[in-house]
Amino acid sequence: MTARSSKLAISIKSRVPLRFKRGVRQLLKGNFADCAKIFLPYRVKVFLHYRILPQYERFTGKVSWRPDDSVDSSLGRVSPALILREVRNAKLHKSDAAAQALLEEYASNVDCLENTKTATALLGAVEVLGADRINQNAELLRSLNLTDRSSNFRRARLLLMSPEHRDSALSVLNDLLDEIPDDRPVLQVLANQAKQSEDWKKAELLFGRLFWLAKSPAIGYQYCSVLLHRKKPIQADVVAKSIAPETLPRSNPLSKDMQELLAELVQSFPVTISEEKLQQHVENISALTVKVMSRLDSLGEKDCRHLLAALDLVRRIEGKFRVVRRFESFYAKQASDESAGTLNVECLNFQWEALIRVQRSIVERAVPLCLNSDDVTLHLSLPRLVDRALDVSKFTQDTSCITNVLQQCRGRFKHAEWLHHYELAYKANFSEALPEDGTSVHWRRLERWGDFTHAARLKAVNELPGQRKKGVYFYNDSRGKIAQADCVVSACSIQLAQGPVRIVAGELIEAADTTLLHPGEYHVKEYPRPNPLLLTTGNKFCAFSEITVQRSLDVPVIVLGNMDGVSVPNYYHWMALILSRICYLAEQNEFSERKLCIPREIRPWMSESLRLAGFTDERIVYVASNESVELTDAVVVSPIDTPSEEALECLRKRLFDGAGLQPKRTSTSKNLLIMRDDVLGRRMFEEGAFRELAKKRGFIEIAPGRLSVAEQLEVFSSARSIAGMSGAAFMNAVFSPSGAKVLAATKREAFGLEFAALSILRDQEYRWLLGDNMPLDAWHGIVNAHYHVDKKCLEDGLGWCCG
Amino acid sequence: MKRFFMYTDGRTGSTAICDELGKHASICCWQELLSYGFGISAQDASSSSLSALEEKYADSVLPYEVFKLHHVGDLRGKAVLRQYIEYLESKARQRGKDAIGFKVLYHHASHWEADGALEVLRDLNFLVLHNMRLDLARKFVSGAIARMRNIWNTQEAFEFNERVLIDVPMAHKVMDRSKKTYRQRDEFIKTFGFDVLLTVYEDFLEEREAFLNRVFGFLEVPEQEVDRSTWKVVTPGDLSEIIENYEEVRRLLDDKIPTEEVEFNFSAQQKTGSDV
Repeated sequence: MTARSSKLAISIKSRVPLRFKRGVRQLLKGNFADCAKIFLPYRVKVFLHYRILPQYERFTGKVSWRPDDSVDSSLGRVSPALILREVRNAKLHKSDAAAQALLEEYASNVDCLENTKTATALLGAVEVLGADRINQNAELLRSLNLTDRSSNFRRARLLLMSPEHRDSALSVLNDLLDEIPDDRPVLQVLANQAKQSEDWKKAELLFGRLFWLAKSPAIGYQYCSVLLHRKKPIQADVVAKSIAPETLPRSNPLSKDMQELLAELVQSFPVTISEEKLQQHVENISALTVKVMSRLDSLGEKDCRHLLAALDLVRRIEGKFRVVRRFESFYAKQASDESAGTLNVECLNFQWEALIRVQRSIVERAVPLCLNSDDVTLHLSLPRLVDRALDVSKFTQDTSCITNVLQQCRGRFKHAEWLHHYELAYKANFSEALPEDGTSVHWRRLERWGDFTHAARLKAVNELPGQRKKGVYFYNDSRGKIAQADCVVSACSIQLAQGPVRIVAGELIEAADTTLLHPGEYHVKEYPRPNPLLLTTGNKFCAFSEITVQRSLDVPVIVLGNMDGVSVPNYYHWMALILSRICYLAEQNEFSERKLCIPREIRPWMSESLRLAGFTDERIVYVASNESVELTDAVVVSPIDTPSEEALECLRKRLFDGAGLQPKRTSTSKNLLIMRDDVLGRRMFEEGAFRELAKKRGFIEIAPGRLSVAEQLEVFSSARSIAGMSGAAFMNAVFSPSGAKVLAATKREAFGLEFAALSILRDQEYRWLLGDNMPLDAWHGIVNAHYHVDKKCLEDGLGWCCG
Repeated sequence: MKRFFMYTDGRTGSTAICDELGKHASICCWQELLSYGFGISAQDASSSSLSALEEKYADSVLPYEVFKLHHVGDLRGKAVLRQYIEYLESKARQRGKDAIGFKVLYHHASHWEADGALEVLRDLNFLVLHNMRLDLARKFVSGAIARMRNIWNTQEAFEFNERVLIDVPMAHKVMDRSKKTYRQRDEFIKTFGFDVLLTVYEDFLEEREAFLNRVFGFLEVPEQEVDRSTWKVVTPGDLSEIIENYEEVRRLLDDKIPTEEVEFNFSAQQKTGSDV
């Protein structure tokens, strides 16, 4: 025994089990048989931990890892706890691939079919690896010998993600539910499955059971959606009113203060607040925020899970406020609604910022607690905390939060893949200059149209100016009176620039100097969209694992600045922002010598609309989403965020011509009703009454989503009135004659100007039928939450629409 | 003054029974007075007059929780409850009656142990009518329909043109639990030393007069013919009108649980009256 080894053996930390200490002593003495009895279950871990590798090598030479005659078979197995710990550590400190390799090694070395404890540990390890690795581990999962209910549930839940094993997993889950009909985790999985597979009756049954057991907001929301989908608005309303508010468990040390803060924020969410309440409200929130934050200091490691739960809750509530930020400019322009108080964007932003501040404090408190903890499961929540820190910094534009968090994590996880990912995300969002490429990281700068099309890169070849248009729309205020608001549709010019570009990953436009075109804000939260080659993206830069051009196209083409249509397959976006531009350019003869370059994966109805607009396959060049293509002669068309009057006129002309229809100049007598039966989100509780009232007034219900584009053109071309629940189908109003009346129901909390703008451009009358969002929904944001509309307003609105 | 309360679960016909008992010349019988969670603040309660507050409630009598808020003062717990009972008795006397009663649901009574309310009622010689509905399947279905319509009891006409999906697998579980609950609740109330009369809703439906006379006898008030309740039966007779999965539910309803399976030797006690 060397002096160093001896020192090591003696200095073994007191928290190490006595068993280990004895094992190390036996090892250092060279008593390998005794040592094997102690250490075999723990294998390599202990040797690496104590850095006694020479002894380890001697040890491995003497002892077989596999159980054989010379070693007691019970010692031949690896400790289940070790499997789980090692896989977690590999994921945390290295990468998913390293963790997967380790899992496979263990799975091949141990007799997991026989030993239930080992099988459970392997199951846990597969869970740690996450959904991405399920297909790879499906066979291993199936072969595990699991006997208890909980493990079988966990296995079935994982196998559900593998298409091949889905049916057998469902059968296991159904059996488990038959045994205990109110088992909430099983119910949750099966209810979601029923919804996904559109088995609405089963979904109603299971979400209903789940909801009445707990009355949680998330389940309540789903249950409402399913009930509305099954045309049971009265029952949906009962459920909405029964939803219990968001709460933290009583045991959470933050419960009292946090609950007060959240209640204050949720209750005061309506966009208006009276002057006299405003000051008091702001003071209350400030005081509560300070109280919550000061309490964080007294929390210790044992409270870590509570902190994470509180963070999740605050984040859910904060989700609602993000929408306000997005609609901020719109709200600021609105006239104040005196009955409900003055609209105050600053107050809303103040509440939102309070939530951000609380999140930041929680993250900054939780990260050191997690890092100092010995609990690996707490370490596994670190990526989530870093993610929040990044979000907080992005929203506040203050990098100190993410910088501190990354610095703390670097000390412990410097080789970890997940940390590397967040380092890249940090650079993408906050770097001043284009970061340098690494061996497997290729950075690209993102630039908006104005910067992207400078002379050295592309040559401006044409500009088709648009015109501003002013108009008005109407809406019912909170007292039910009809108010009028001005709406200015901004001028929309379309610019063309020519030069060599590349299309990367089927969607991105890259200039010769590798700069990428960022198409704009509208409906594009994260750009570029996720694709297998994209590592991260930020406001200015994005990083790819590789970009290799696969083919070159010498054909002259026209390519759109935003090739949206695949990522956002929305009827309004396609028709108003994409196809209208194509039609406009076609009318300007821009396609006389060029083909249209478009993503291959567009929807069938998009292809149909292109055909109607005169673009047969011979006039189109398709690029697949996994392709990178060099275009030697391309004209790039500037992206647009708002509809253009001229472009819409061209769209109408070409589509009507293509469908062989004559657009009508004056309104006829057809009244159309559009509902949202095929969509789960943004439903109205008064749908039944609305439908009934509309039918009494002679409205004909149609489902545009089930009609071809040509059929939609035909139906809407002769509409005198269009009423219904706001959605992309209202794009069809542009095919209706001037003077038509449009009535769209939605919620007061979130209504944009897009559809009103379309009607103004078409000289139609537009009225919003505004209601209020369902109560206590903090999970799904205010845009897609269901809503109530006053029945009297429905009647008045329909009366106006067909009057 | 005679005093009693009906100890029961939801959807057992207790609203109609209480209503009919209250139509007796000597009995004032109210509905759920000792329930919890009335949405009224202490400030509102103390700033309004008693008569103004009473007008708010259908029975023209304050529920216990509101009464407590109105009497924010030096009284606490048991003393407030005693004063509340006196308040109820004064109300009964104003109406020329000499017996008071009200309904207490099992889950409302779960607050009693903390309040010490049960001891007060026992010391005041309250009698207990422990009312049950033996057709547990129908009880479950009635509860599920009421919950989805949000109409538990009503005296007015109402419209509801949707169909309700009944969770039959859950019904089996709830029915099993109900059987145990009946037994546990019966033991619970008797251990406090109350005189208990077990009543069954099905008897009320089949032999109304005999049922009521038996109760009147227990309460020691003269037998008398009373008017029928004005509360409506909210579950329609033809369940196929309102239930979406009626065939499945019909099998559940047809598959009646034998009385002895209620784990409660009800029949013997009812016949001999040994529980009284």
